[in-house]
Amino acid sequence: MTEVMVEPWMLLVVAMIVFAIGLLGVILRKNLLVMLMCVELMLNAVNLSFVAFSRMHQTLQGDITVLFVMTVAAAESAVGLGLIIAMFRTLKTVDSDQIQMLRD
Amino acid sequence: MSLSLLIFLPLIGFLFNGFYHLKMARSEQKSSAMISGVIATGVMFAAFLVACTYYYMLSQLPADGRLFEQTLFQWMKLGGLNVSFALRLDSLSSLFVLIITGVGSLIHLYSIGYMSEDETPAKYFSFLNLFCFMMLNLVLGSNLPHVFLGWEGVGLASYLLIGYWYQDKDKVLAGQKAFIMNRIGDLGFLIAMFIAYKFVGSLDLIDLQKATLTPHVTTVFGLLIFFACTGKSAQIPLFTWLPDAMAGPTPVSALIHAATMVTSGIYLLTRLSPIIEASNTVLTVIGMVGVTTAFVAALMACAQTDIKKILAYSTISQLGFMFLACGVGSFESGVFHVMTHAFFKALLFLGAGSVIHALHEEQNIFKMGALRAKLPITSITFIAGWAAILGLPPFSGFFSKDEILWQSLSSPHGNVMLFIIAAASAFLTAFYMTRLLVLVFFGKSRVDPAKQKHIHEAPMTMAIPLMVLGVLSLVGGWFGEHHEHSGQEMMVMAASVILAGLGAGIAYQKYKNFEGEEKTNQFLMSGMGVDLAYLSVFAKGTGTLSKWFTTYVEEMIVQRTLRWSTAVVGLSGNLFRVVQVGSTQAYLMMILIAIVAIMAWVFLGVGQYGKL
Amino acid sequence: MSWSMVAFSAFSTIAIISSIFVILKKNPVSSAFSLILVFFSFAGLYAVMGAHLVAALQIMVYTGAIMVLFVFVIMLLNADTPVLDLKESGGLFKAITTFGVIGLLGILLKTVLRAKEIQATGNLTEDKINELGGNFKVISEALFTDYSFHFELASFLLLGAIVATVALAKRKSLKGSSV
Repeated sequence: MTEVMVEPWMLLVVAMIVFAIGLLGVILRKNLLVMLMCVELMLNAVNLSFVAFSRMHQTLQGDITVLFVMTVAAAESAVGLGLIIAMFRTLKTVDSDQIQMLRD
Repeated sequence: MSLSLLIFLPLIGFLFNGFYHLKMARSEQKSSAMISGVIATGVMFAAFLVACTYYYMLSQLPADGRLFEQTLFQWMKLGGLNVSFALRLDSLSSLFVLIITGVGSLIHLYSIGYMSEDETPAKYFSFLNLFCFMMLNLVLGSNLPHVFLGWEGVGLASYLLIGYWYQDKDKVLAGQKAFIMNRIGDLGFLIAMFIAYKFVGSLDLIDLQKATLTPHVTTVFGLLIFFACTGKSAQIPLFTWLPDAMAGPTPVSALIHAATMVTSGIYLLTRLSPIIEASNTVLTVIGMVGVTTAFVAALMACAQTDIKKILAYSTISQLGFMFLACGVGSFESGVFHVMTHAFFKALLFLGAGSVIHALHEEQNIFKMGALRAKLPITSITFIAGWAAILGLPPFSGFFSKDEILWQSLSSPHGNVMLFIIAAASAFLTAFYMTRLLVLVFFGKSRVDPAKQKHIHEAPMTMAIPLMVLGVLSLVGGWFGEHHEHSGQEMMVMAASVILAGLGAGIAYQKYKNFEGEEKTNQFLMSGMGVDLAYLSVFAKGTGTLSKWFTTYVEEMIVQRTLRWSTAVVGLSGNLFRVVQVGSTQAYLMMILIAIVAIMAWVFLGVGQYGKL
Repeated sequence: MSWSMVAFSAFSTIAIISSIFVILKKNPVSSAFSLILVFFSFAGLYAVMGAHLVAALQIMVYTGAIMVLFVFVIMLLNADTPVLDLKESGGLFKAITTFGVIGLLGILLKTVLRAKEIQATGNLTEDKINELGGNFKVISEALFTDYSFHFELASFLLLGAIVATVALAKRKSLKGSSV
C-alpha cells in the first residue's frame, strides 16, 4: 500500500467546504451572533487556504498573512460584538430582520 | 502726469465714497454730504485741471499729430484678437473730456447743496463718480470693447442714479426702463463689433477709421452703430426712457441725461465717421431719424406740465438736432452743438433743480409763477440758458444751431425738407422754452400758499455752478471755429432768429397772465402713445406668445415628456423596489448570486478573460 | 496510510461536521461550542501542514480570546430567552441561497483543481525551514524585519478597535433610534 501524503490541495477542498458552510450560515441564519460566528468561520477557511497556498509556493508569506488576518478578525469580532450589544440595548433583539431603520 | 490720471481720479472718488458709505451704513450713521461731496468734487476738479493741461499740450502739437496714447495693460488676447486697455486722447475726445470733467465738477459742486438733506449722500456721490469714470472710459477708449465698457458702465451708473430713491417704486421702474431700453440699443453695438472683427479683423478705432469695407457691410455696420446710438442718445424709436429718467435727482438729469451720457451717441458716430460717411443710406437714415426726433420731441415738450419733463423732451429734441448734423455729414457742427448744449441744458436743469428745491419738490409749472423776485440768481441764469437754447445772437446756441440749420440746407446730404422740419423744430423750441420761462418766473404766482413762505434762493454751492454755466451759455459759442458767412447763410440765420422770436412772442402772449392749469393734449403729453404702443406690441405680444407657448409647447410637449419620463422612472423604481427588502440577508444573497455570476463569467471562460 | 493523513482526515471531518452544527443549532450557545471545535480542528490542520506558529496562535486567539468573548456576549444577552426565537428564512430563499452556494462551490472546485498545477516560487521546503531554526523562528524573524511596519499598523488597528468597543459599550443607547 502506497503512502498517501497530505497534499495542500486537499486542505483547499476543506477550506472551500467550510467557507461555503459559513456563507450559507451568514445568509440563512437571522441571529446576529450566529451570523458573526459564521463570518469567523469564513475567515478561518480563508486562513486555511492561505496556509495551503503558502505550502504550494514554498514561501512563508501565507503564514504571515494569516497572522494579520487573525489580528483583523480579533478587532472585527470585538467591534462587532460591541455593536450587537449596543443594538440589543436599544432594540431588544438580535434579529437581523428587525433592524430596518434605514429602510423607510 | 499721465492720461490714466483722468480716469483714476474719479475712480478714487468712487472707491472712497463707496467705502465711506458702507462704513457709515454699517454703523447706521448718516454720511456727511460735505465730506463726500468735497471729495467727489475735488477729484472731478482735479481731473478737469488735468484735462485742461492736456488740451493745452494737444494744441501745441502739429495739427496732424494731435494724439496722446497710453496703454495700461493688455486686456484680452484671443486668437487674432488683441485688445489692450489703452487710453487715447485726440482733439475730439479732449473736447468731450473737458465737457465731462468741467460740467461734471460744476454739477458735483451743485449736488453738495442739492443733496445736503439726503439720507445717503456718500452713495450718491460714489455713483456720480462712477458715472464720470465710465464716461471718461467711453471717450478715452482706444478700441470698441473699451468704448463698450464705458458705454455699459454709464448705463449702469444711469440706472443706479435714476432709481437712486429706491423706496419709490415708480423710480425703480424708470431706472429699469432706462436700462432695458439701453440694452436693446446695445445689441446693435455688440453685433456691430462682431461685424467689425469679422471684416476688419481689428477693433481698434484707428484701424476701423482706416478700414475700407464693402458697401453692404458699411451700411449694416453704420445702421447697427446708429441703432446703438438711438438707445443711448434717446432717439426714435428708443427715446421713451429719457422722460422717465427724470425720476432721478435733478443734478443727475443735468449731468447724465442732458450734458454727457446722452451725447455719447454723437461721440461714437463722429469717432466712426469715416465708415458712417461712406454709406449714403446710413447718413439719410440718421438725418431723417434725427430731424423727426427733433420735431416730434419738441411737439411733445409743448404739452408737458412737469418742468423736468419739458427739459427732457427738449433734450431729446436737441439731440435730434445733433443727429441731424451727423446725418448731413457735418459731424463737427454736431459736436459743437454737444458742447453748447452741455452748457445751456445743464444750466437749465440745474436751474430747474434750484426751483424744485426752493418749492420743496414741486415740479408742475402751473403751480409756479412769479419766482423772478424770490429767486434772482436762478432766474437770471435761467434766462441766460433760455436765450442760449433759443439761438438768440450772440449766445452759444445761436452759433451751433444755426450752423446745423445751414448745414441741413447746404451740405451735399442736406435738402430743403430737412431744413423746413428743423426750422419748425427751432420754432417749437422757442415756444415751449418761453412757455416754461414765463410760467415759472413771470406772470402771476400760482404757488401753493403753504409753500409760498418757504421759498428761498439756492445756497452758494448751487448758485456758483449756475453762474459759471450761465456765463458759459452766453459766451460758449465763441469757442467754435468761425468762418466767413455767405449771403445765403445770413438769410438762414435771420430766418431762424425771426422764427425763434416769433415762437417766443406767441408763447409770451399766451402765458404772460395765465391762471389755473392748462388742459394739454393728452396724446402729446404721454409721448404720443409710444409707450402704450410698446406696451401693447412688445409687452402684450410677448405675453400672448408666452401664453401660446404655455398652452402648446409647455403643456403638450414639455409637460408630457416630463410626465412620461417621470412615469418611466417611477415604474422602474417600483420594479426595482422589490429587491430593496431591507433585510441584510437578502442583500447578502443578492451579492452571492452576483459574485457567482461574475465568477462564472470570468473563471469558467464564459467571457474572453477566462482561464485561471 | 501515514500518520499525517490520518490526522488530516480526522481533523477535516471534525471541522466540516462541526461547522455544519454551527449553522444548524438553534441555540447560539451550541453554535458557539461547535465553533470552538472547528477552531481546534483547524489548529490541528495547521499543525499537520507544519504551520506551528499559526496553529498555536489559532488556539490562543480564536479559541482562547474570540470564542470566550462570544460566549460572554451570549450570556450577557441571555440569548436563550424567547426573544431570540427567530423566524426561519423562507423555503424559496433557502433554495436560491443553496443553489448559489453550490454554484460557488463548483467554481471554487474548478479553481482548486487548477491550483494543483501551481509551481513553487520559493525555496522554503519543510527541511529548509527546520534547517533555519524552525517555523517559529523563521516567521518571527520575517515579522520583525520585513513586516515590522505592517506589524505596527496591526497594533494601531487593535488600539482603534479597543477605543471603538469602549465607546460603543459606554453609550446608553443608539441615539435617535425608533422602532
